[in-house]
Amino acid sequence: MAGKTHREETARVSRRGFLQSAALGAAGMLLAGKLGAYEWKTFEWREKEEIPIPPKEDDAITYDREFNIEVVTTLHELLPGVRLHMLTFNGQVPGPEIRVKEGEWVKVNFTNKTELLHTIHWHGVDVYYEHDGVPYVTQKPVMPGQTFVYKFRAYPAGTRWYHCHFATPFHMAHAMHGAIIIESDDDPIKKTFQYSRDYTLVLETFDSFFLRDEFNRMLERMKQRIWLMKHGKLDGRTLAVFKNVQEFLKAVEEGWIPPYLPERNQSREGADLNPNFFAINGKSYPMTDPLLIRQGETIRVRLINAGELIHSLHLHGHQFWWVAVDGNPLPQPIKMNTLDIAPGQTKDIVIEGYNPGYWTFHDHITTRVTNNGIYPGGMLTLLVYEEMAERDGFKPMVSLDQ
Amino acid sequence: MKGRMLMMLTMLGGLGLPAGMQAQEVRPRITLGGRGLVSLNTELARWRGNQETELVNDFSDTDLLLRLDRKLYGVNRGQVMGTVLGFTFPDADSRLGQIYFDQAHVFWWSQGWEFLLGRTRLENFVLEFPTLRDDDLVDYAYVLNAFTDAPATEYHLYGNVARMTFFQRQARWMERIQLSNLAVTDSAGNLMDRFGVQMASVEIAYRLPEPVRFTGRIRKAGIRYDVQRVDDAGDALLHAITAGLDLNLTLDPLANWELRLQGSYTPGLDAYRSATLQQRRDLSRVRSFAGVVSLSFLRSPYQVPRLFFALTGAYRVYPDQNASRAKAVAGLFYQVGAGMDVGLQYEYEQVSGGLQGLLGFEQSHSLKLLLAFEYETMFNDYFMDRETILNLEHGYAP
Repeated sequence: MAGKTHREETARVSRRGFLQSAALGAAGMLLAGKLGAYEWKTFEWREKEEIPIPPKEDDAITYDREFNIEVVTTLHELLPGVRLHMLTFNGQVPGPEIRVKEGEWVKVNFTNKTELLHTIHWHGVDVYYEHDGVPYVTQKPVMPGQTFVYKFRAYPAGTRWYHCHFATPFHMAHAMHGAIIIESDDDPIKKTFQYSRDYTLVLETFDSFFLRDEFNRMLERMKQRIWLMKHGKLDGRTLAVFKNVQEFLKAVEEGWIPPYLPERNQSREGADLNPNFFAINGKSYPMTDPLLIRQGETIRVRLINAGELIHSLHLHGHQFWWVAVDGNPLPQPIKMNTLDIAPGQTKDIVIEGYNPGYWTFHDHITTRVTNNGIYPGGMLTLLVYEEMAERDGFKPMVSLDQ
Repeated sequence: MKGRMLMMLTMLGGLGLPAGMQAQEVRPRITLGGRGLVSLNTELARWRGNQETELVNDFSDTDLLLRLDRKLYGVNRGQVMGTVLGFTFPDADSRLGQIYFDQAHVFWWSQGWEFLLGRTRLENFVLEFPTLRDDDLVDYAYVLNAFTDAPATEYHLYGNVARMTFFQRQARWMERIQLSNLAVTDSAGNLMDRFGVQMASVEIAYRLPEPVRFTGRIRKAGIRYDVQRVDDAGDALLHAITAGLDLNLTLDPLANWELRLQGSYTPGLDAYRSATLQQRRDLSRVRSFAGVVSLSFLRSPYQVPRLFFALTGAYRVYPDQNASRAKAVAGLFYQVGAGMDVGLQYEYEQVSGGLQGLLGFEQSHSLKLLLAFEYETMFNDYFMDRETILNLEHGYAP
């Protein structure tokens, strides 16, 4: 392997060789390196890989792609009868999927059309630090009415995502999240599996009561702060922002009451996120969109956990291949049928269509397969063989209270 | 007839669905609220050269409130029904006993309306004024109940009502109609008539809902008309018209100056045109003009309310009786913790003409040292009130 990059190696892996490896089962997996069927050697390629320092934008750069993202308040319907006020990107849940090629220069015009403060953090993308979107750390928050232009070179390839990083537990838990897919012509997963369809599933959890209460509180507070800002009266202590720790300590000594103290805030909502709705791409079962496949077809499913909880996704009737984590290809695909995904993580799987039918694909922490505590619902969708309905006419029914 | 009505109501009360027919349990939202309000009052009254002083430990207006409400089914998903039960500790000299049930009603609301049936505040004013207790300005700022001679101010503040309120334009416009069953008492305070409609009211107002209270100069501007049908005066109609204006002098949420102005006029009953003031209820039945003005300041450093100051002046004149009264109230309150205040209120009142004999003083001074504890907590808070910013400005979804 010495002297070869990871991509050069993976490009050599043939489809046939891969299937042989799969057929060998566990023993085959152990022997895979020796057999040469799957030679993704993590440590070797990481050492050899050229990892560029993320460049800063400059005037000479020509941007290959430009996107406009506005944050707005949207009354979103998760389910018939369940409408929640949400902070959204471009009015949709999740936000628009951004697909770019690795290495392309990307410009995102981010406009804040709410009365709250926001940023965008490009989660898993190696951006120049000033465009990382962490308020007060790498940039000032984007104020109501302001536009901030995020500029970065899309790197590295894989399933990434973006979310608001201001008041993160609240804004991210709203709907301020979306996928950024960085494609590469050298994608080893594409080369290996030759999948024909590519799905993105953004996994979401919503505590409808927390979102509502916190949203109202923030709006009331911010209406006042906007007036103070306009009149130059908004100071750091009102905003609870300090230049450094010493300033913060000085403020406390002088009688400023930190908002986390129980004498000022004992509502507990802030600490007690307790989701009661679970969704995939902005919809809860039975309103979730199915994954469509045909017999003999291979599909890729990109999972993004944009919520607050770990999910354990299980596919019925199939073994799938787990091929990437946090956007980065695994050293070796792993065959499984239940996959854990932590908050903030992305994981990619590949499903081969070999068992025609209607198959549920859901969080196996089954309390999340509920709508406000009623099973079934929530984070559940179907893998649907398109030809099934044509073959025997059977279609799954919709059950809402078991 | 009244007996039959009572029986029917009792029967209706028993028509709740049997347990087996109830849908699965839907727990109500529960709100527990109230206040502990205790003051040490030093009171001094002067009349005909005599001076009388009192030191009173006053816990009146301490109250407890319980609200239960739920969302309605189906097409009424945006609607809420609930009930409120509350009691307060009345003044020691009110003859109302240890506690008075000031709230016992059922309400039903949606985005554009609210219906309320039962015992609650009469809301017989346009503006509320920032004094320590609700009845500090009852003789100036309220349309008084013309059917009671009792000393209990609760009979002017509370009643049994059927109230319909409509809201438009993010609840900034409000129209209200109300039919009220007032407390009818003899001079000893005994309730004489528990039924009937004694007062009808209409009000129209522009207002800023509480969450957006600093977003405009006009906090409330309203006008109302109240009419009482006085059966013991030949079914004569007693009219009153009240107008009020509440202004944000500054829109600064950290240092907010507020000015409240209210004026009212009642032409009185013809039968009382030349009457002398002999009973308390005469005060509501004779012709009078009243005006109240209040300037207040709220200091909320870092958006945490800490200091409140209010200076209020009130005046009412009874021209046909050549009598008048005036009152000044100054209050200073400091919030020592969330919902916990210490305060000081000074009141001065002066009466003239025939009023002196009726009320028994020419001048009075009162200094009140206050400790107050207010609270409101919700359990099972599963829907959103109508007047939240989200419901008002971003689409209605309670």
